[in-house]
Amino acid sequence: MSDIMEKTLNSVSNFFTGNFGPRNLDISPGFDQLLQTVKRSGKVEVDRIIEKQIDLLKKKLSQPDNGVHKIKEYIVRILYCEMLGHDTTACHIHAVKLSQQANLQEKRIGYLAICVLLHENHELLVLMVNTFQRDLKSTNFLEVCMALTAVSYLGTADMIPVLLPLIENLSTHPRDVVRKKAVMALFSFYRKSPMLMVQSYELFKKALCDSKPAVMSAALHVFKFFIKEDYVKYKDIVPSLVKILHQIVHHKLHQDFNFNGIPAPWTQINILKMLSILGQGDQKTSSLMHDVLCDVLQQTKQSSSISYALQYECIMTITKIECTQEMLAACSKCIDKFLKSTNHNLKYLGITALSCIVQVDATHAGKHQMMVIDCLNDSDNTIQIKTLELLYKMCKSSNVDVICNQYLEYLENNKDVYIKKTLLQRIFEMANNYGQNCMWYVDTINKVLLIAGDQVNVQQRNQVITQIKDIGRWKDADAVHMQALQVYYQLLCATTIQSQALFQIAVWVVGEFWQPEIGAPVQEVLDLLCKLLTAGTDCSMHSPWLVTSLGKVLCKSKVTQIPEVLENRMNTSNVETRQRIFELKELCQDVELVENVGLATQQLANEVDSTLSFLDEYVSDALDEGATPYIPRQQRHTERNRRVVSATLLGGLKFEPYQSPTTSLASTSTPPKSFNILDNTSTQGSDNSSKHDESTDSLQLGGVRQVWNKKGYVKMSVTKTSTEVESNTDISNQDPIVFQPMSKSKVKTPAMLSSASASAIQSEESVTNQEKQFLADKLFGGMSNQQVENGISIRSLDEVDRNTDRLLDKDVTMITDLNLLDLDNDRKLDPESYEQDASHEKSQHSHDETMKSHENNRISHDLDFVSHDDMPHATYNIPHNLFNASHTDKQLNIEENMNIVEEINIPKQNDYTNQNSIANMPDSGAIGRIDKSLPDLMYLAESEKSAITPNANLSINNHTHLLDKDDDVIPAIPESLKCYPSSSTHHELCMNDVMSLRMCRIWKPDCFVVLLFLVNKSRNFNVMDIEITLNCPSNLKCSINDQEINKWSVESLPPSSVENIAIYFKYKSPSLNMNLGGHLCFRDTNKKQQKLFFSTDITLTDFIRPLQLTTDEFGKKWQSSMLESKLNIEKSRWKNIEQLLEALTTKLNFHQVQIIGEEGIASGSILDSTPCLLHVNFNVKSIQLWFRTTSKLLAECLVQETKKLFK
Amino acid sequence: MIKYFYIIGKQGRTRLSRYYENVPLKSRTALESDVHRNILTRTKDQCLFFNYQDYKIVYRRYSSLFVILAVDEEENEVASLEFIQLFIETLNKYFEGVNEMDILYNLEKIHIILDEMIVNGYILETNIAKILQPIQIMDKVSKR
Repeated sequence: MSDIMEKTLNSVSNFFTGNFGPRNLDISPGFDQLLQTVKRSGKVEVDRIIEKQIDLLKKKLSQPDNGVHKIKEYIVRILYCEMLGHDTTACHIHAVKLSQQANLQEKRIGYLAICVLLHENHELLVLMVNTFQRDLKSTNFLEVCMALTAVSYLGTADMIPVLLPLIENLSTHPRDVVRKKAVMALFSFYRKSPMLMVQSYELFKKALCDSKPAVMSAALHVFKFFIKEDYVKYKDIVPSLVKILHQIVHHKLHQDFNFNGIPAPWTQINILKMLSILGQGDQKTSSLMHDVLCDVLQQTKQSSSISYALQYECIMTITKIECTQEMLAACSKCIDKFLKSTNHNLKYLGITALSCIVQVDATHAGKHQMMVIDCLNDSDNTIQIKTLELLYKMCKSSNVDVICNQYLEYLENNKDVYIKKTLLQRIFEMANNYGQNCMWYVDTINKVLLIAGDQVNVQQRNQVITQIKDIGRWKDADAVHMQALQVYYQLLCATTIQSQALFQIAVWVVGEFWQPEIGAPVQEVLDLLCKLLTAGTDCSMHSPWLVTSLGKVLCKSKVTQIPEVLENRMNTSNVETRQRIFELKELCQDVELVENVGLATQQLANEVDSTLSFLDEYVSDALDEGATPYIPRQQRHTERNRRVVSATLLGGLKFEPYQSPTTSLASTSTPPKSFNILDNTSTQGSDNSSKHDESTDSLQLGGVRQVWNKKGYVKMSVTKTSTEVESNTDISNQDPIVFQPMSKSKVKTPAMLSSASASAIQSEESVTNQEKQFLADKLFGGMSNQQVENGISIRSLDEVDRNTDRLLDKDVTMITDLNLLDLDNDRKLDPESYEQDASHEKSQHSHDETMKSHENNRISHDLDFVSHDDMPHATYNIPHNLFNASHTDKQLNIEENMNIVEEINIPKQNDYTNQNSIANMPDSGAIGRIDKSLPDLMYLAESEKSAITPNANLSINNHTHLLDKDDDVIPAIPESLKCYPSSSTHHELCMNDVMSLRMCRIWKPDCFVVLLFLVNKSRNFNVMDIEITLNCPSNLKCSINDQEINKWSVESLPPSSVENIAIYFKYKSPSLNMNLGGHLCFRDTNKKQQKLFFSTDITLTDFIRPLQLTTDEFGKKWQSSMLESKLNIEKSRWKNIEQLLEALTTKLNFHQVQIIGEEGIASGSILDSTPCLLHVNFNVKSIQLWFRTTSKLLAECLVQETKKLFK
Repeated sequence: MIKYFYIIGKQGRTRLSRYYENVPLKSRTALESDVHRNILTRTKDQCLFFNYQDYKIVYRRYSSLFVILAVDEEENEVASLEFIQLFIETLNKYFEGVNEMDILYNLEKIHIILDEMIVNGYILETNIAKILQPIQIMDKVSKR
């Protein structure tokens, strides 16, 4: 980047040219002397000089006969003193006075001084209100500008009522410099008090479409702020933004806006940032941006830093929105360029961009692995930190240990508190999410706590404790707990622990897991804990923990006498400790109670009777009395709409254990007792039985699996369908030998390949390079695998990878003469991983075909000795093709189904699709500067908005449906709603690769129903903790399941299944705009919290129902005191009254009453209650429409709706 | 969002400081010298930005001056860096070849120019001609 250097040198040379421009040459000797002495003196001396100067200024300013020019200079001196950190409060009043001067120069200095010296809560501001008011009304635009700038800094909520009308007036000022500052002033008001600024939205919108780019870019800041608050509301500005960006990119701006040949780069970056938020998880909105994003990426071919900044921003946007493979490829190319650069700024951009793209497509990291390793060891800690962030984003169970090690290494050498905190949080997250081995987990956490224990918060500490305790997580919980006990016991014995969190965890573990038979003798443990207790002070944070632990040990060992230390501490000032000691004493004296408590804690830890067998009697009694039998959650939704589940006795119970539908009934060892009862009773119900069986077949529900019994956790085998990672940890009864041949071939994994290739080039490369390569393999080994898997989790590959890596660690030299046999032998020594592999083999029976092709592919590569870098591509193609092929049939089916559905349903407003496509078409005729073409934007935004009427999306959505590969679940409308007219297609509200939320409109006579289909698209995974929150329009009454709520949630949704949610809307009052927004939260397959936003328009026609009236009735109603609204429409499109009225009635869903000559009448109602009457006069010249209904606003709404429909 | 803008001499003496969020006067000098110290530890082959507290510092060196911009997490680092360049180019145009003394002796003018470019922490204008328009009109008026 020679240009930076060049620029710098240029400016440097200018520093000494002595060529004087508009410099301040009339500086007074006094000020000059001050500046000179400050320049020469040391820190202490400067402080003294400045203090003296302030005293002098105070004196001089209070003299009455100062000239204005002098005061101006004094104020500048005050600015100077304040800049050097000295308090000049006493002089601030003079700055306020100066701003009230008539002379422009002095006024400007006065305003500048108050902006710099005062803050928004300053008491002197009261004095400014009048000045602001006067200057905002001034005819001199410079005075107006000064006032506006000051208002944006210092305007308070109290000033809003006084100043707002003035500033609103200024937003139409003829000068753009005033308009742009007015926007900023309004914006600062909005940030301080959004409630008072509700009406300003229109002004901002107008500013965004202003003909001057300066005003538009100021408005962009405002909209960026809005979007960050709630972006769903502002999706309609996307076309405007895209158009603005398009015009900037294509050099429609004046040349003055160019910086290093790039037009208005900062404005472009701003728009890109906005688009990245608006396009998140929204295919439809994102597709609008694709073209312009490609343009941005294309235009910036030049090699200036600003164009790199723009490219980088563009990559960030592309990775955040829904994008195409080609766009990702283009991004990858850019990243390549960044990373290969010698300039550190660019490297930084490259690494940051890489960590974004990795989240979309992990393969891209593989190409740059060596680069990443280099950056990890870079001398620049800014780059190091970014690289660590990249690793964090790549983290998986296969590389978590390597990444955590890197983090620990960095943590050790870092002092910065903020960085420590972030890194710490990430290590905890990675260890919690991906840690496979408890001892590793404990070890890592301990290391972290030893290094940075002071930064751990209480939440993180508790997290660690629950993780260690979580029996379901670790393979052999009891052994794990024993190991943890030993580690922490030794830790407590050996050292004084500095970190509070670590100490507390250690004490807790000792108390919780210590058992009398195993571990250290009772007395030893008690002595240790007592010693620690005496070591701490009275009010130490540790004492409650120690006392509790002591209590647990005492209870377990049945010691009846509490240690002396505790007796001594009974009067401690720490209330919590005291209470615990008293409790403990009480417990120890009552042997029976101890046993009970001890038993209770043991049960809590190990035995939960989750079959709820103790409720059997109660349940059967309830059933005898006629209660509804329990229906498993998965079957409930089909029946939910038909009959409202009455608040039965069972209603309040939480049936937690009936969780996963993935295991078939056969695999559960013993069906729980309580379930039997329920099952029997449900089959007793005459027609229920057959239906029950059917649904189990189709949905693979099978029933429930028993996770717990009195002996603890039940180990179980994995069935074909389940490939969940969690279930893999507990497979012990599989026979490894059966699968031996398969796993032999499996050993030829990419990791081995790469090590083989490493050995080939080893002779040329130094040992350090080799180490880097190994590190890269460890980090990235998993990456390429993931691609091979193509979304289906095949952890066995990872596993092998890890084993190989372990070998690599043990003996580096062994790798050089590596052969298959060696590896095989070693693998046999490691039965644990072997088993896992084997069981996976079975679990992936169905994917055998794919796997075999992979195998072949790999072998061929093995022979060719292809370098590791090429691997991901080569292996990727084959499964991808296979995948496609298997889906073509399905796609056809869906297509057919769609067509049928469309024909059956009532067609409505179909011609609006045309309009939509018109609105989407790029405006090819936009020539000339942005000044000229921008006014069109307003119109464009309008027409786009109208195009978002429900059925207008028809064409687009059909399209996405058909392309959707995973789309093998077609949601059906529940029986209860089937009889009503409904929208022909299901509009996709939001989607990502796991979930999809679709919407169907159903027009019930008495209400409008939005039926949401929540689809879990994944084939193997349950989606957990799903919650939908709706933002309903305030004029509608919204209810779900007969309750007036806007939240809906479910704990889990099985793979490839659909959940229906019916939302009922009633019309409370008329409103011109109705928008149904909301968001969908869930935990995806990696247990990561995901949030998708959606938004859709509800139109008035959704609520209009035809009203059957005779002409007489119509006449009577028309006469009665109703309110009216009128609309004239162009005649050109309509031949006669019949055609017009026909169109009106079908579109508005009215009932045609009669046509007499050139006049026609029709009637409708809002949800069968409020009548709406329409009278059409088909004149020779024009057409007039009159709407009459009970409220003026409603009539106006009808007019607007008609306008929209006929645009 | 921009948090603050500094021009600091090589020796650590502040030549210009402008805060866009409330930092108490007492802690300002300490903050300035700490940022300056951090910049001095960086070598030529490191990037021109680094994490500081929970935000980022972007800086550029011109002769014996550091021009420093503190921006929040979401701001584009390189674009901020180029914004500093734009600022210097603007000064260069206004002073017809800027030098260190200009910055020292024309504190208020630099502030006024900066006011046109940044308002409340947002970059408002990047067109050099438009940035200089108000101050140039004002110069003309006062000369008359």
